[in-house]
Amino acid sequence: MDMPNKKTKRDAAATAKVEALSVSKTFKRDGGEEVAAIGDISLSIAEGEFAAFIGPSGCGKSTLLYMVAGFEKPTGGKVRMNGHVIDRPRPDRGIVFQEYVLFPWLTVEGNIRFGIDLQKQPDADARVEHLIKLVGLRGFERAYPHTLSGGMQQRVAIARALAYDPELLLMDEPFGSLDAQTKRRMIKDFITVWEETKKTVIFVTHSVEEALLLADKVYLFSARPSRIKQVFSVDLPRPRDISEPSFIGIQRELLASLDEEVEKMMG
Amino acid sequence: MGAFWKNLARLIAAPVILLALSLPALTADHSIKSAYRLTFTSIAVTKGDFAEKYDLAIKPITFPTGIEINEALLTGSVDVGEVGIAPLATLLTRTSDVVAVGVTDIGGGRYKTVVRKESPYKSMDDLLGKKVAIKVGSGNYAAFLTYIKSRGWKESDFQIVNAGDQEAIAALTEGSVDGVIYWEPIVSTLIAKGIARPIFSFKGVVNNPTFLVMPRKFVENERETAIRFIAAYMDTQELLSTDVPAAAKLVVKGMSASGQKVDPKVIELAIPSVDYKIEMGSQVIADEKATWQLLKDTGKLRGDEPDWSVAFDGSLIEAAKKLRGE
Amino acid sequence: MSEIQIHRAGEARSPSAEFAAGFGHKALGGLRFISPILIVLALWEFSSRAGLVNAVLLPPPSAIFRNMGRLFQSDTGFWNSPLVGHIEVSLMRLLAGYGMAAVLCTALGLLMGINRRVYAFFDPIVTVIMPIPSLAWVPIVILWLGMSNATIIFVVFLTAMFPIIYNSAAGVRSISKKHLWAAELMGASRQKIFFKVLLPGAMPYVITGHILAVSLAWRALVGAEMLAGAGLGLGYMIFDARTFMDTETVYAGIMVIAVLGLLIEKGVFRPLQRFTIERWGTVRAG
Ligand SMILES: Nc1ncnc2c1ncn2[C@@H]1O[C@H](COP(=O)(O)OP(=O)(O)O)[C@@H](O)[C@H]1O
Ligand SMILES: [Mg+2]
Repeated sequence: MDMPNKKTKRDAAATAKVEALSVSKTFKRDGGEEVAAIGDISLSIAEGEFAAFIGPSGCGKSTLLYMVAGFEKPTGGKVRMNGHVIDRPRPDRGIVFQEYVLFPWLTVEGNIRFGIDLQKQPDADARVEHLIKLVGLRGFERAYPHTLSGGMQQRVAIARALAYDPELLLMDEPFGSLDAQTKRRMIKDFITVWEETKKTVIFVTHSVEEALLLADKVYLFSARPSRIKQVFSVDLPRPRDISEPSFIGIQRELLASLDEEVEKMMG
Repeated sequence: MGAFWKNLARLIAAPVILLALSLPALTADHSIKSAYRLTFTSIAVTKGDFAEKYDLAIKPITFPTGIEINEALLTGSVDVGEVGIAPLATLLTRTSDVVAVGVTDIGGGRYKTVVRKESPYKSMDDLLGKKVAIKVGSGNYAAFLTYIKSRGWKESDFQIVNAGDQEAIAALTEGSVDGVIYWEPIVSTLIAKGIARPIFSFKGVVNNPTFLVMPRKFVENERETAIRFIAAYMDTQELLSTDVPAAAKLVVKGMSASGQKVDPKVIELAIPSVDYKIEMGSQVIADEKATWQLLKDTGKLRGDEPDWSVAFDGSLIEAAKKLRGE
Repeated sequence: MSEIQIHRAGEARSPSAEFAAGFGHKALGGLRFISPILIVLALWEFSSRAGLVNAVLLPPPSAIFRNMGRLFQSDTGFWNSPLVGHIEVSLMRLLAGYGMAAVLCTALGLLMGINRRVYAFFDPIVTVIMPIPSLAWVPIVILWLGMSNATIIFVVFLTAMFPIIYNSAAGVRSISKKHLWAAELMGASRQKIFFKVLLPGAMPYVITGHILAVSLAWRALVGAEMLAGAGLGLGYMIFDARTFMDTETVYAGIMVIAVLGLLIEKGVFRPLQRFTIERWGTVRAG
């Protein structure tokens, strides 16, 4: 556990994969009323790091993720990747949404190939075949998404995001709409996938357990307008055991801190 | 259970009794549902006060041409209508439930071809291949067929546009057709408005009568009313034959009621283009038979030759003459 | 080992058995569709023959079918028969009017869906004009184009226009922002997004719009032919037959119109639906 990153800008640029520098974001509602979603966030995510964002609902986790993707622009401050300010969505990133967001008119294979074909990358067939095996979708290559269960669809979405080999994988509550059993299985399988690909990951979640099972570092967002309240380093080997005392220790601490923020949001 | 059936019986009985009570009331004041359309006779008999004399109420229902009147006669929704020589052939081919009881007028002079005033057309020959509005199946259609047969032409030598009366007026006014072949006073209306000029009259080409037609049931059940109508009709014909200016006034009134402004002078000139004679002589019947054959030959008629012996009934005319005091 | 084999044998169906089952299913569906129609035709035949209804106003179906047979004959064969001629003309008019609308209006609708300014401009126009019954246009169109083929084709075009525009625009607008984001992030250019996301994504609505357009256009076509048919087309055939009280031909025309409408829907659009949106699971409810 350490406090928010206090390295100098130059230092950070040298080692960070993604960094946020005094980022703020204010939305204008239809009525003209302004909502300050993100107050002031600075953070730095290292190459190969598995980062989890956690915080009360509505605190701006997705918003920050979308700014990293290039979908949204910060109102103030900067978001950088590889030292460059993020200007627009580019295929050096991949994204997985909670709602899968697959293309229903394409088969499983068609969805996974989507990015590869767009970029005319070589060895498409072999890559797609490998990914299908990796995420456990063998035999479903020709199936259309609507014929698959939620868990299977999310496997397709993960494979699609990894297929064109992005440097950074963005995941917005990817297991949020799955039932408990499926979720446990998905977490286990995703660790295998991640360990093979070793990508930098930003994983938004509202589940403390999920964050601690997966992440190297957990960034705890405060209530809106948000800042980073705390960063938890989880130096436990994967696969992690939720009944282990060290796991339970961090979990209790993180939960207490999160509850404080949830209280503020409710009050 | 018993109460239910009793109530149901009452429910059914009530309208039947009401209807039975109202029937004599309807017949008592001699009213007749008459198909109204734009012809000199139809306008004059409806707009004039000829019927009052015979204690008769004429209830007009408007139709564009005799074609639509045919359908109304078949279903009995009108008691009398003016049907041209060709529509009558059609009607008699399909049903024997109607009967011709008199002639409204006779002569080819009521059918004219008009073209737009500024157009170069001078004769029917000039209209070959052009768009011509006509009411297919009507009396003037029969006159047209007779004429083109005599010239050795075919129907397809023209671009026929099948149009009702108001449509024909509108079509020439807009210039969407090159010529209109129609009857009086439609053609005179177009001339009077300064839109059209006549290039051809069917006078001498045919001598077509137009008939007064009634459903057979009406003639049988309400013979008295039918006779009174024919008497009033004969008075109308007399006016058209003897006092053209007065008749023209009536016609102008009728035309303006359907939205057409016409100069009475033009109508006065057009009225004598036919003879207004109620009689159904052997020549008239022979003409009808010939027209039936003409239409049959075009392949458009469905059904066998009508039983001509029951198609015409001149007895009402005789009774009407007595009523008029002849 | 043997157990597994038994299990498999019980589960799998031979291809021919599957075919037979599918065929039986189809035949049953067809029977279910056709039997109420047959019952109505039988009742109709009976009441017409028994004199319960006026046989001129409602001729028996047997007479109508016999007449239809006659209309399908000519000295030079079926293909030169009068009815085939009318059908040909009507279908050509439908194809011309709908075809123009399909090309122009799908494009305009998609553009409206993509571009907010285009949408803001055309939406009020479409909203105001759409509810006007298409036959109300006929007198005006006759003024512009005369009693001609062009008038009828234009009325068909007008009718087909609005459902296509409206649904194509709605189809594009129905695509979620996240689908577009996902494609963009995977490196799709604007052009690729259009062809690979917007077009297939809008498809359920576009197909609905086209089905609606053709069925409305077919009705409008027949109506317009009655008013401005100028000698040809199924609508004109009915109109002309009415003139001569040829009700057998009138009903024959009505039946041909019904059957052709059904064939267009079941023969063209159903397969299109089956191979696209039904497979994708994106069929619109209602
Ligand atoms: N496009 C938008 N317009 C207006 N308000 C928005 C928009 N996107 C997000 N917000 C608001 O910003 C806040 C943060 O949203 P979000 O990032 O989705 O939160 P979460 O942490 O739950 O993912 C919320 O209050 C949300 O209502
Ligand atoms: Mg969120």
